Amino acid sequence: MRSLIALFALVSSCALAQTPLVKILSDELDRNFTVLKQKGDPAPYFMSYEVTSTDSYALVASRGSLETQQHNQTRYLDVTIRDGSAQFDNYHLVANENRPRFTQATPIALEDNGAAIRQAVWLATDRTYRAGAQRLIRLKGDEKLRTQATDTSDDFDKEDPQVYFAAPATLKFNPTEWATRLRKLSAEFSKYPGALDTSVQFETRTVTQTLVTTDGTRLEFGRPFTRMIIVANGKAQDGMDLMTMETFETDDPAKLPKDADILAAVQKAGANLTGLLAAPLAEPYVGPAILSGRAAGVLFHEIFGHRIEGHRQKDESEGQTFTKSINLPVLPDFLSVTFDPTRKQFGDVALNGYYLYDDEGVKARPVTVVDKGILKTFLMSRSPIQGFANSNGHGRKSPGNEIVSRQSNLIVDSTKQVSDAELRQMLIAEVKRQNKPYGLFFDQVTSGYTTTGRRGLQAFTVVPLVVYRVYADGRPDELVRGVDIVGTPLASFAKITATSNRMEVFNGVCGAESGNVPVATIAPALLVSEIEVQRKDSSRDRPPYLAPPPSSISSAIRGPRP
Amino acid sequence: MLFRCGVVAAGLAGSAAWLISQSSEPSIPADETLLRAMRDELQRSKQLAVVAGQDAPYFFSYSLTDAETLRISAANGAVVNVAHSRFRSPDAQVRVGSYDFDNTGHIYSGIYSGSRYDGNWPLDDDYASFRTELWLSTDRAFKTAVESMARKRASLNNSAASAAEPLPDFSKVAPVVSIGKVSRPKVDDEAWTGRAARLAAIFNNYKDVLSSGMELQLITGPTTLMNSEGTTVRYNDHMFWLYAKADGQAPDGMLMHDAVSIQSLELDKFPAEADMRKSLAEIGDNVRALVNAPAAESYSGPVLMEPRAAAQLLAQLLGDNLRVPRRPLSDPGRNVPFAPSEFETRIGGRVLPESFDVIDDATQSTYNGKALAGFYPFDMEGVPPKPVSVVEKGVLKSFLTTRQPIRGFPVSNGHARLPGSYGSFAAAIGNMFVKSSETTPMADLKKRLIDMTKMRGKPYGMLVRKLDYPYSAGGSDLQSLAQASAQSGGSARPVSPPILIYRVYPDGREELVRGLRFRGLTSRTLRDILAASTETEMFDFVNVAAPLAILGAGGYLAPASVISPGLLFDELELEPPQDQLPKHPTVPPPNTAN
Repeated sequence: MRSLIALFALVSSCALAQTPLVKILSDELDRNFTVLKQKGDPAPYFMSYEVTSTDSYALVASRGSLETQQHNQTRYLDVTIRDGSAQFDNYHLVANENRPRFTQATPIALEDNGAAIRQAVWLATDRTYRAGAQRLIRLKGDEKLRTQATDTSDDFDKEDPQVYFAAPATLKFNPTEWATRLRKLSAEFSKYPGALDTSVQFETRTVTQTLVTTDGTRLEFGRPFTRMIIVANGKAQDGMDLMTMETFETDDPAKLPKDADILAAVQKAGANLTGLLAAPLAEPYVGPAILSGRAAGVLFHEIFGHRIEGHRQKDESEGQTFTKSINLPVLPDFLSVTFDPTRKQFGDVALNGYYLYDDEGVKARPVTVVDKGILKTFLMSRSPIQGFANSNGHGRKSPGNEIVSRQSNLIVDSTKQVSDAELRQMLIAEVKRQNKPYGLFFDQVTSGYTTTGRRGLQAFTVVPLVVYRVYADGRPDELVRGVDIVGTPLASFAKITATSNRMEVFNGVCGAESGNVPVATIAPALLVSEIEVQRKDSSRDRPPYLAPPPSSISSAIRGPRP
Repeated sequence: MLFRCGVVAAGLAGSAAWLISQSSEPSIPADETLLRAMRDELQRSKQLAVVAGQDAPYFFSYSLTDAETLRISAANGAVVNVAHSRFRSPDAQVRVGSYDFDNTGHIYSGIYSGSRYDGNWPLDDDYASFRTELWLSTDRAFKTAVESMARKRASLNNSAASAAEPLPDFSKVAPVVSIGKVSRPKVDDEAWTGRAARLAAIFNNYKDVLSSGMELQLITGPTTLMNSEGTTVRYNDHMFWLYAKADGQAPDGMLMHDAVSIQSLELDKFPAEADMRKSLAEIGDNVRALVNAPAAESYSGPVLMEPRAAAQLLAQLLGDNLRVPRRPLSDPGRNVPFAPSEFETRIGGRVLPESFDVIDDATQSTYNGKALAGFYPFDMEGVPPKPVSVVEKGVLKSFLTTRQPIRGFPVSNGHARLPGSYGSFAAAIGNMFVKSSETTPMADLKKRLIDMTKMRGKPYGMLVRKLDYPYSAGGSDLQSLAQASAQSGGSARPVSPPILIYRVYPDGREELVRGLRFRGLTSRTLRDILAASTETEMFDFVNVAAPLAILGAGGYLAPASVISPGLLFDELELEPPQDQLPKHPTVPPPNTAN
């Protein structure tokens, strides 16, 4: 009986008739493609329309008052037109020329109004076609002036069409109730006087993607995102700006933790900030360290993930660190790395990098990029590279950008696992072995960036929030402030010596050529025999001259207006 | 709506005037949370003098607009975006030094290299939160002022002394206390969303309109300003605005467009849907007519402007030049981005024919029973506007001023309406009345135009009904317009091109032509006006801190009115643009039903 229901549900969601938007887009796609194929010179061989519909609520409270309350609905259209042939089209990359961009995010009607949407789609198609055709004619014209590229793969691959209709449900959400909760939670920060700017932010967002292509793909799918971000900002006496942050991510607002747990997170952010404001400045340091699972995830995302994105292997302006490393060891043999966009959840945490289809309509699938230290493949969009003719479902972008291959959920697996306590003992042993006074423990990081270009340094930076010195002589751990992890990619991997047996999630948003896309990492804590940190670039303006204003006078009239 | 509870017009007690004296301090009721927070934090901020050393703060000002906005974009009968937002937009100013010499007017004035912790205002009326925000804003503004002052002193130390008597940096004004009763008219989001969709559907009826769009902005909310000189004002600061644009393409590929902007300071004076529909249909009709009109050829000869077009022209050539920005101090030899007024050196000189008088009067709220858009109770410095007689008998007599003194005009006449550069505000017109003592009916002016063309042996004269002002073509069009203006020996400031311009043949027949812009038209051309019409028209628009009042640009809005007669020019030059024209779309339009 139970399985019958499940089966029925499955069938009903797949066999659902196409939505009005799919119908409007398909009809206009057929009409434009038919005419352009006949009359266009050059003629298109592939076209697609993608609509990204977003419905979002955001509420921000600070010091017990509501600061922002927004409800926003948008629908953006992106048009892709490929002229010429899959072997050589208007997206063809040439040396010393930026990756072309033909699409613009065109806002279209929020409701399924055929006349309005058709008009907008037609105009966007015309604009996109003109830009693409012009580039292809130019490239064909000066092709004879160029030497042959190293990578002679096609510009576009062949994929099976996909048909699937299951738009996410509209979220049930009560903004008034949430406003009250956020006011109460954010008031807790008043207990931390060093926190100059604090907030408790709540956002819930449903993103629906609708894609129709001339290959026959017809998709409508999406997912909700819900998150809470708790931030405290302050300024140390020497002018250094400091921030601490706690986050919760899930799909449904109802699944967020109870207020007591959120309050604990607010207190943690407040206490960490207070600690950091009083903490000594870190010294530049080279030596052993533990990176927490979250810090390790960011490190992998930056120094490894971005370098195995397929399009970088073809682009001659890229550093191409790993282009020639297939079937060669690139990581210690106890580590494997998988990108799995089909993974929805890790424990209670919803994963940001989860999706059913990528932005080119290719079905998502797990991709093992590194198996026991050996590089196996790259993250692929529908743009082939030498040796990899097909997409593996990692063509991603945000509205208004052209697709490149991007990361999803990065998962680091290890066969050399020890408990957190053992890992700490190993760190102390390594500190002693290297004759250092202390090692470092990177607890929380906020973000990182990396440069992969040929010009400029092949380097990365990860910005830690909370870092401790772990002393060899048994003194308690000491919070320090003002460190950035720096380094060059290849050198860093060889120094990973062991991992924890506990995985942690870092959810984030990754910004690159094709815009901001949600991503996640799942990784164990890492012990590294050597890491380099530099002092953070810091502002030197002093904290406010006057003390905070007295707030006691206000207690009688605190709270929202009825 | 505005309720003035008394005006305290006491002069400042000497240059050492330390802020609000106990006696001039307005008594603030307990439920006025914002005013109490402003007063208390302003008072406490005086302590900054202790840490300031040489450059102590001498002036503090807080202002806050408590805005609620509904913004709806629609096209072809459907809503594309709806944003309902509520926000409080604060501004804190601190000046260090003295009225004679302070932190403003330097190329780096207002630039702060440190980190910001202020800016996000609570939406709840929470005294403690208000104080905290004001504290952080004051601190940042003070540090900004000290930093600018240091740079300014350094630049001066490195420059030869100027021969001219230095101007003071800030003028004194009599403090004003006017705490108006404020109210927010009820805005029905759903009703307006439906209205926007219906209005935007009008363009579906025009097969010549290829693309179109409409934006509706309903902005409500009081503005409160308090400064350390004793000024406290609060007033309704609403604006209701609809603008729409329609584009088409002529058979030869030339892109044509027309736009309309409808603005009102009060919701109940905002035109009814049926009237808005008429205005939008008019631009649809215009685009249809333009697409099917013949392309124009270069023209040099007499031009008659109807009152609306004349008002649109005067808003630019007179209005924009009545603001005289001060060139900022800089390091010797350094290039300063700065657009001076064409009138800067022309005080006492003739700028219009002798029969012309021009008055800017923002204190008027109606004209012939119609609401004026340029009415405002206080400017951005809390100064009430004064009527200013700017041109008398054709001679330039005065400028529109802010509290930044300009040579010959040491005091503000209450026209600080837009954010300016280098730590000061920019002046802008309110209601500009252009009058002539010698007028002729439009019908006779048209006859005169025909006589002139005959006498000069021309096949036709030119009549202008509408300019593209506020400018509604795209940013790249503006660039090409500015380039063409500079190349043709005109002003660096381009002038809006005509949208509706007609050939007037000797038999009186009018023929719409397309694709002309002015060549070499500057404020000096105004001296050669031959005649003014008896008929006048009130033209409303929304001024923004962008060239040609670009439609929909800029966050600060200064609605204005210009009242003008029609104008006959002895000779103007018009030329078609030399741009390459785009092909028509390969695919025919989708909505063949229209």
